[in-house]
Amino acid sequence: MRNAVEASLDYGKRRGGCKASVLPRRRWGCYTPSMRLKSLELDHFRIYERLRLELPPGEVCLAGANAAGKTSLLEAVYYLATARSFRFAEDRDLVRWGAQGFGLRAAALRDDEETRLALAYRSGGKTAAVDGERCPRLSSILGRLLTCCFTVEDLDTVRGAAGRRRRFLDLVLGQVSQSYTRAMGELRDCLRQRNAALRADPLDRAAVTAWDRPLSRAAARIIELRRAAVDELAAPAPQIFAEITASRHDLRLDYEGPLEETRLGAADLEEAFIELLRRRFERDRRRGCTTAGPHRDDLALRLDGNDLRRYASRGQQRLAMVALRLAEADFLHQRTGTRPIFLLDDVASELDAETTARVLPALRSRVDQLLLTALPQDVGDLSVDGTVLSIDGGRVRQ
Amino acid sequence: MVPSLKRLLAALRRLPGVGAKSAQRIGYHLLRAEKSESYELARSIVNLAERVALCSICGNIAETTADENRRPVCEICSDPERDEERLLIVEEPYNVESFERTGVFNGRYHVLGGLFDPLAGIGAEELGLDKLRRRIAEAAYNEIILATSPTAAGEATAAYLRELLEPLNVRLTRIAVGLSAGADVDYADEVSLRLAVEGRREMH
Ligand SMILES: Nc1ncnc2c1ncn2[C@@H]1O[C@H](COP(=O)(O)OP(=O)(O)O)[C@@H](O)[C@H]1O
Ligand SMILES: [Mg+2]
Ligand SMILES: [Zn+2]
Repeated sequence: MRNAVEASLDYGKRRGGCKASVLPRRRWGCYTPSMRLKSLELDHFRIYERLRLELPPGEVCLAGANAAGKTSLLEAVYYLATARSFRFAEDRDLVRWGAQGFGLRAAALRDDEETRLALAYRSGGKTAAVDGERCPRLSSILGRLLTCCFTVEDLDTVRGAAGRRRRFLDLVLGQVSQSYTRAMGELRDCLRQRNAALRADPLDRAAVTAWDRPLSRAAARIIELRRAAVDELAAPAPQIFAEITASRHDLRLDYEGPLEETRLGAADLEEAFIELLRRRFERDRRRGCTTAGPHRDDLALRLDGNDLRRYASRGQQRLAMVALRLAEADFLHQRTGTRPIFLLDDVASELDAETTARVLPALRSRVDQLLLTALPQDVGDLSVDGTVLSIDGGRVRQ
Repeated sequence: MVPSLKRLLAALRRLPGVGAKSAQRIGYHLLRAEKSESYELARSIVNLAERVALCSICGNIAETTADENRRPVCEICSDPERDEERLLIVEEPYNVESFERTGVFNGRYHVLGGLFDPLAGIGAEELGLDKLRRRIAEAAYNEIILATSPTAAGEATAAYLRELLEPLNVRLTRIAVGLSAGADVDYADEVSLRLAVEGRREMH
């Protein structure tokens, strides 16, 4: 019950393909709106002192030498969508050296509907505005600019610590579910408070367990939403993997946490989680922190039964991640009824020519706007279906 | 800017919800207004600080009397007509006012003056929970209603109170989460607050 109510609060209603008669249709069948970036403005962001960029419709390839600012530009777009960097960087690292803060603005089109987004960072924190109105909280900007990316750092998403994969889930879900963002905020608060109570001297046991209920409620909600997302990402993954490798393999994704064996539903999960906290109280007390919960869970990736996180070649890890990113594009589309923007960083140096030749069409069929980057000498191999802009020293030549 | 004005603006800016702009507007307004307006404002502020204290029984705000030996007692605690069977526990004095406006509750109140916040060092002692336990143990309430917000801190405080009060064998209820989860009791409108009290549930 609570599920259905909360789901309706989420950003995009799941629009059931052809059934949604209110949507305009293309002559040749179902029509789904797409997200497109129309203009982008950067102030004091990474290498960019000031950038004012109009993006032409269709695919855009940014071509430039190393350190020209290609990745930073995609990072800015992603930051506007998620309020986080895809580079696992702190906000202050994004501020141009010597500046006090940065500002990002964009005009985005969902079909013909234009939205203006703005995000500013100062040492005091981040503020956001949508269509000129300041958002009461930062999370109001999430999900306005749907994006999906594949970057050099994605290798770490597969092989890095569990935190990388949780971040992947957080960023995907943050774009589609307000209740996920809210639950994550509650989880963070509860954990900080419970951990402070665990470290209090003298210890008041009841002051610790007082947080178990709100903590478990947030945890159950998060686990439920993550599981559903993982299942939806997992469903098309093997087929996508086959599409980009031209070979058959079994690519599996599973959410990993201490309560996953039980496969309990959300309501029972809350009780089971309270029980788990109770069982682990002594351990938590010794460590001075809450040792189980969504903040410790992981996403398992397996290829033909082998754990990709540990036992796989970089090539396999990279391919699995590309497949996962394509599945993410499908997921965002399914959940919001809108096709996302896809950011593809330096694909020519990440993947071999054959794979690139299979990945690009797979991508083009999924999104309307593909923003990609390449070294000048690699541009030819990408057969860009749109505009090539050259970029150098934080400037774009249009 | 002249020092006197500067001093006033600095003081105003410390008030909640007052930024540089509004402080300036208030400051210049007072400069133009009749002197009596300033005197009345200043006197009422001083009066508030001197005459209003927390009720020694329930923690609500209370007007003190000239008699310094009398401990402050609020209007509700000194009202003999109120129902002695039920006690409603809230976070802040202004929550008492909100519940009073709904008219659904005619019992006694207890104001915690905050919620659990271990990070800020606020726990059972700071919230005077032992005093609350004694108050309940010594009286004969039939029902204790926990009306903290359905936020994480509100739930944690309610959970702690349940543990604390359970041995007293008194009926414990929690206001319904008719308030959307995460909402604050202070922002709830009268209707939803009334529904929350009417739909309260036993706490287990
Ligand atoms: N906060 C910052 N301020 C100024 N320059 C930065 C900052 N962060 C990174 N850079 C510089 O920006 C340049 C461009 O980086 P990047 O966008 O990764 O280039 P590319 O992807 O084109 O190789 C690099 O030389 C890097 O040192
Ligand atoms: Mg780069
Ligand atoms: Zn009183």
